[in-house]
Amino acid sequence: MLTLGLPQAAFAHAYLVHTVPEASVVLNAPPPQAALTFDEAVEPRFAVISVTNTLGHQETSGPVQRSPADPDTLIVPLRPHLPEGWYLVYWRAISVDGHPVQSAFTFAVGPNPGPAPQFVVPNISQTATTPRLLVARWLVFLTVMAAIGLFVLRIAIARPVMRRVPGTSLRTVSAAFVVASVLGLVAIPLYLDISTAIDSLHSAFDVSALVPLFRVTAFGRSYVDLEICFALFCAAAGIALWLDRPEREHRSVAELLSTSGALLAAAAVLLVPGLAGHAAQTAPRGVSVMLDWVHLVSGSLWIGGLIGLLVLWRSLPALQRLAGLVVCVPRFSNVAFFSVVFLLASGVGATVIHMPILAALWETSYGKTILVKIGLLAAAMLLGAVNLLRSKPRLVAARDADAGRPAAALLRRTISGETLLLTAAVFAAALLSSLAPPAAALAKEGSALAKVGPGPVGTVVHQGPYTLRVLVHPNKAVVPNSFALALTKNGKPVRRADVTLSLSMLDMQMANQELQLTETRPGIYARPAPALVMVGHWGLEFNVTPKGGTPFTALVVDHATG
Amino acid sequence: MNEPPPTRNVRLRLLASLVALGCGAAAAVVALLLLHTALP
Repeated sequence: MLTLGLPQAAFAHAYLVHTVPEASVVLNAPPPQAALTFDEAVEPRFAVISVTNTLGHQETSGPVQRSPADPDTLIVPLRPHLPEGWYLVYWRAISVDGHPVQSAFTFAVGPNPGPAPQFVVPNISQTATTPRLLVARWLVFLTVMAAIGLFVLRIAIARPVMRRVPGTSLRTVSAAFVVASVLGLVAIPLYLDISTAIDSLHSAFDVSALVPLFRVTAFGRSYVDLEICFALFCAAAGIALWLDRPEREHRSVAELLSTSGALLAAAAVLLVPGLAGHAAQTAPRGVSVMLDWVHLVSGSLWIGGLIGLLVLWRSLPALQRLAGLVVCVPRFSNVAFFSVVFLLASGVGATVIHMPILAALWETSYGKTILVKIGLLAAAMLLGAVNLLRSKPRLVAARDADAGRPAAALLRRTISGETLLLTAAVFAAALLSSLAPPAAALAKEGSALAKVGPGPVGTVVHQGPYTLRVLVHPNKAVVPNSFALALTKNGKPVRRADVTLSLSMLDMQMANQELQLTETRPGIYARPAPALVMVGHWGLEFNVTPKGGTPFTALVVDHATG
Repeated sequence: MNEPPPTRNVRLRLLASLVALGCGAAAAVVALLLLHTALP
């Protein structure tokens, strides 16, 4: 009844390829179970399949299991002898990148189930965003990036301060690194715990049940690996700081080896989030992962360095403050300048890869979040420019502490503002990685002849010499819809044409559905189908081959509501 | 008088630095294995 087209690209999200019973089918006998086949192996412990009758009563009689015959199929047993009537199957599964995907379809037990009712569909938003999860993700990003940036500032940028300014110490910067590291080591498992709890419908405090599930999904495995890499980085960086003797100009072999080990571990840590998220799912995947890594490296150097400078500003005794800043600030400014350049370049590159069309920037939540992040980064860059062009030259030019005081005060204010803005930008990044990127099918939207819906559709569009009247009724998600096309040329119906309708989901990456329309009356091609499987924007592409004529396509963007 | 001999100190520092380098290498191996799995 419903044919799903072959995938045209690597999909970020698991999608349904086949169901038993089929969508909208009327069965002569009650089915013993519902079976859903996906394009990839989906973990049953993270999947929900509910089968409810028109009154909303649950009709399943056991937990979701993997089919012994096919690892890509999930089955749920149903109560024996389901009475005649219509049933709603609602499902939710977790994709490779950790995003829940969900949808619903209906079937009926006959022979006389009556007309299809209007089911109340459970929430079918596909984002992985809850406030608690978002804050946990933000803490992971912030603490890991801050720890790495603080380490680099302490071991490479601020190191000469102790040698050049007698009576100073970098112990507080090292202490800030330790605090960020400990918070990061706690935040990663905490985030994994909350995320797994939400996906597997457990309480976040049910740790004994959740820990065995940590390595079940690719997403969970990646975050366990992140914790391992970050712990190794913390150990290596701790040793490097312990061995470092900043009072000596040249480093010993032991210092060089330990610092290299810590930097290698830091590079490894920053590779993991890209591999666990959208970057590894977005083609070209190698380039995408590399851009993500460059973005995180430059962001870490920037935000960790700023936090380090603030700590240094507070910890240096008033008499040595100016001298210490004169050594440290110009060195940090150089690093920050290149960090910003790489951050911008990699961010622009990643946006180009993720956005199928420019309009997706302001039309999708993902795009809007990118715009907010760009705004926050632009404001932070403005403050950075003030530091680079005003505070730094004034600090360097100041002859004594009194002369340098206004410049130092300006520096503290701008650095505080910059740090706050970057912290907010990291929050936007955490939100971004929780949202589904726009579908590649969105690129088609620009060629649409009309935008229709919500509600029943009866729109006339023109394509060459042909007039097409597009009809969709009732144009609601999940329930069976009637799709029809009235085709005329010069006012006369066009008969015996070959008409197929291709439906593509524009709000998230899904497989296209192809429907063959049949001529029910002269020039009218129709087909009932439960094709709009979720709420949102759909591309309805009519592929028409008139008998003896040139084939053409007509695209209409439809908004289906629940 | 009670300070350890310099050679022992140097050995300890070198050993610690090798541990740090080992940590870095181990983290790199974990990330590369993940990379291999994610981008086969």
